[in-house]
Amino acid sequence: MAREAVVFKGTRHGITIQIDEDAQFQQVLTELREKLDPARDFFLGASVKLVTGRRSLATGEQEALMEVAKEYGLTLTEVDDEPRELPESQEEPSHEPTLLVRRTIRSGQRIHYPGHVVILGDVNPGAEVVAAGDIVILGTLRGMAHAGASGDENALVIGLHLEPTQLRIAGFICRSPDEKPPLRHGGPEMACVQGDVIVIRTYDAGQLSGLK
Amino acid sequence: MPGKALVITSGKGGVGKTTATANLGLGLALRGHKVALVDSDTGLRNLDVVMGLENRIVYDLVDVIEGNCRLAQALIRDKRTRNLVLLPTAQSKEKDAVKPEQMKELVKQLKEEFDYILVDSPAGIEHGFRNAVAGADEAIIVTTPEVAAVRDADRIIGLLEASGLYDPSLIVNRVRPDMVRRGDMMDITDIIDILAIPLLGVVPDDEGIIVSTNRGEPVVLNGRCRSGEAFGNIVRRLEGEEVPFLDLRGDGIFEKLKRLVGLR
Repeated sequence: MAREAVVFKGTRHGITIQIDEDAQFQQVLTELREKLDPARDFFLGASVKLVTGRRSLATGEQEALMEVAKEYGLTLTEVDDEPRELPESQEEPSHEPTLLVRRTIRSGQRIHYPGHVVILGDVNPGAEVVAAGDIVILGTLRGMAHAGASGDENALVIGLHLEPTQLRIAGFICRSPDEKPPLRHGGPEMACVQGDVIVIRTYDAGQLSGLK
Repeated sequence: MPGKALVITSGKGGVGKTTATANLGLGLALRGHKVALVDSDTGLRNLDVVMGLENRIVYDLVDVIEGNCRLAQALIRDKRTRNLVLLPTAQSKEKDAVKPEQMKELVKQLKEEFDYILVDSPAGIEHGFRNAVAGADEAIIVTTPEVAAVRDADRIIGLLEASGLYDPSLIVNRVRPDMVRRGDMMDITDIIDILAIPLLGVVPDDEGIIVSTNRGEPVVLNGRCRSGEAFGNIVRRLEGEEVPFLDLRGDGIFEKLKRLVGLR
């Protein structure tokens, strides 16, 4: 995948939109729309911080970004155009916001978080878990899970058993087949986007680095 | 020591909350406890009918709350045992005639005099449900082996947690032994898997329970009937006894024989 011009990040203080320093401004706008479009509801009413790095925005450019944000119900609270040192290593920073939920999510309950979500329990039919990042369920997923809700197609859903009513990753949606699938072996399972479909397969820690 | 208030609830209608309330109440009373049954399904009262006490109602729960009578005047003594009373609700009022705080106060008063207060909740998750759970210390969820009933039970467990009632126990009602045998009915273990709460009992659906409900004679009085036996066991489990679950697979002598020689 080509380098992304717009990157969404969940931080402790909310959502940050990072704009690539070298990308064409027009490309930034297009990509921002593309990423916001599949997750319209998710961002409604959210306040975000814009990080532009070494790029300094021309007066018209900032207004244009504001315009797009407004269109999707976002409020740009802050624009940070201070140059910052990006870490050289490819490792993701380890302090990404993660929500730990120590209970079963039952029908009618909803977990919504602009970061990763870890659930120590089941996600029952009729329940929803929506996360901007990955979703890890140490239990059985029978309800709906939406990982990468802000458009991250690399997001994963991992669970001890994945029998979702519906599964979404970024803009992709899939549902379980109408017939009960044959029993899979006992190990944990993982859902990810491959090509343009969501596939569920055996979780293998060794494959993870290759996926990202 | 003040008594314990249990709410019997389900979310979905028609799963047997009222029948369960009547049977557990009578069962506990017959074992020597002082029991008060409270019907909180204002506007659609049934508990008095199932108990066979409909013709004795003078005052009801709404009268007590509105101050038209004293609490003691509205309590109807059961015709079978002096240990059991019923507080019926109003048939001609709306559910919002009662507020959760008023219900809480009423249950508190009952707890001073009775060992067990069983509150029969209406179906649904609205005002009537909130009233029913208001004064409860513990909850019993009734469900049937149907996907929709289990889904609603799950929703109710979540709502109970939200109002501070953790760890409810479960009664699976209306289990058809013949269908379980054939594998045509939702498996009890599947239900427990989803709901993840302790199982209090499994009650088979038989003719006895239908006949007794229509007659106003709770089936728990009938020890020869399997549903009556099941409710009797639940009562004992409520008191902390360990009672093995009924084997619902084989009712017929033929099945029993087969099991005996190890054929199934």
